Amino acid sequence: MMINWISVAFWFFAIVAVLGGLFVLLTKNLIHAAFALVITLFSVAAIFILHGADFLGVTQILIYVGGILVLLVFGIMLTNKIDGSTQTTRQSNPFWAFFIAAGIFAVLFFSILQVNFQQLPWAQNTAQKYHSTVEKIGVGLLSEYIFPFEFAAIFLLVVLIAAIYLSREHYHKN
Amino acid sequence: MVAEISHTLLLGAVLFCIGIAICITKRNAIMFLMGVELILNAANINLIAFSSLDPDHIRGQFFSLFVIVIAAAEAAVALAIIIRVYRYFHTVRTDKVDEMKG
Repeated sequence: MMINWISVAFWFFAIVAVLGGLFVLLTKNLIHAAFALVITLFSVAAIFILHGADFLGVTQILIYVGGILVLLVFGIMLTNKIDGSTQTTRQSNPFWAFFIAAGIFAVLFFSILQVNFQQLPWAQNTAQKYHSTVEKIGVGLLSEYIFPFEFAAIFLLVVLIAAIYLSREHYHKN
Repeated sequence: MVAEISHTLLLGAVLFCIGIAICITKRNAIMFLMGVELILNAANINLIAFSSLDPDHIRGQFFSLFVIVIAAAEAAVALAIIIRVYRYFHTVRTDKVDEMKG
């Protein structure tokens, strides 16, 4: 019997992603949670690439692991107590969290299993070779998706100014 | 086809529910941000799963790209606010920062 290694890779990365997320949920140590989130984000990037989204997988690694996680770790260090004790966080309402998360998951689980996604009018059932998406994304960003692209540019500029303004020291004028 | 699309969607659902549970249980504002990042990643996984059914393989990826942009902006502004809150209250515990509680 031929083993489908791509499916094996998919399940491996899916299980690693879920285990990393569960570690973030269960740990009390903030730094350990940040590093478990790195593992989850890398696995999600691998799943993107397995689904043929190579540019998006690389973007995920660059922005999430290289940007957002570094920001989060800096945030953890900047809000640390001076005495050098490890920073921990307390769990609260675990029962409510379990019930709400399990309820949402049950609804999603049964609804996903009931829908036959192959019957969607635009869905293409035939297996096909994946090609590099870099050229398609580059052309699409400057033609069909030009408005969201330019909007994202201005949005990021506004966010940059807002983040600098919010986090700087405010000197009082006398 | 890498996997059945329902399996990929189930992975997205699991990550979404873990993110919701993190947002409910954790009392540290930075852990809350980590939960939000997981939720946004789950949304991205769903977009990519449907994009692999798409004849062009591409339309879902654009939306996923813009979700990543929004996530980066959200993390930057939220961390700036958290650092302000820490300077003012000397804690980032969300149950201690209740000065405006009605």
